[in-house]
Amino acid sequence: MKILIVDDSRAMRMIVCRTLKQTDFSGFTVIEAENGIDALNKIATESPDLVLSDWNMPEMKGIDLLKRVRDSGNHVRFGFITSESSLETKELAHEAGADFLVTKPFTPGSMQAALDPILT
Amino acid sequence: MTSFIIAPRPSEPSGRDRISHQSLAQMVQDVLTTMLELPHQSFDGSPEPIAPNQLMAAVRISGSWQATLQIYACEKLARRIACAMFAQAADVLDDEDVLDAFGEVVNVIGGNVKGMIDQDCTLSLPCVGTAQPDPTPTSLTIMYDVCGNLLTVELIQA
Repeated sequence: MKILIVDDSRAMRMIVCRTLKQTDFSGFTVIEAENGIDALNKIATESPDLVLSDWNMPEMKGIDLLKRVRDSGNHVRFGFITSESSLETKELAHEAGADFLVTKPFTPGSMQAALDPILT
Repeated sequence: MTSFIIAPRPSEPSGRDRISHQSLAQMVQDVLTTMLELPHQSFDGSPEPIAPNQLMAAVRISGSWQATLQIYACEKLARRIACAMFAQAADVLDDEDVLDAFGEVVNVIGGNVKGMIDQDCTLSLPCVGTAQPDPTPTSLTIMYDVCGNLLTVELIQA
């Protein structure tokens, strides 16, 4: 399984990657993108099985990235990892076709709980 | 553990518009515990003016509810936070990594504040730099001793 982590913060990409390794999941490889454009390119060229994206990013917000992905007919599993936990954010994510939303700060347990339904 | 609150303004919003010092302190504590895993305790001393050589990171919440969240720390603590986030030694992290990590701390707390208010608002990208004296009165100030250094969190509702 190939997982694409999208976040403009290198520190947060490292934390997401480290947390994934602390879950019960194994056998995955991680690729990274630092913005939405980079992510679109990697989705096209790397064909990840799962995208974990930040919400609040420069140039292209995570929700716009998801809309671009879905508009292109790509149904890759897509989850948000964001500090923005408002009801409005969750509704926007769901309506745009997100599979789940994990709120920062997260734990291996909360990450596991979000990924369990779609990876097992 | 109790947090320290300084000079709540009489004009603070109330009800669902209000972020209490307890809820803000809990958000900060969650970040220190869950994301950074750094030893910390509330700091009950008197606040001192922010030293000009400190780092500051800020996010702005705009919309039907407006506020600015600012955090301050000395360079040593900011670097310690970066070490925790990157899980790497200080000597392999550059200044950009330190600013990145410090900005992400205020971004996470700010997003949690926005989520608690749950109104039609937008969260800015974090801005990080050297602290500048700010005469704007704060609605809430919370301080934590983190690894022997002070982390100051200010919420300015305006």
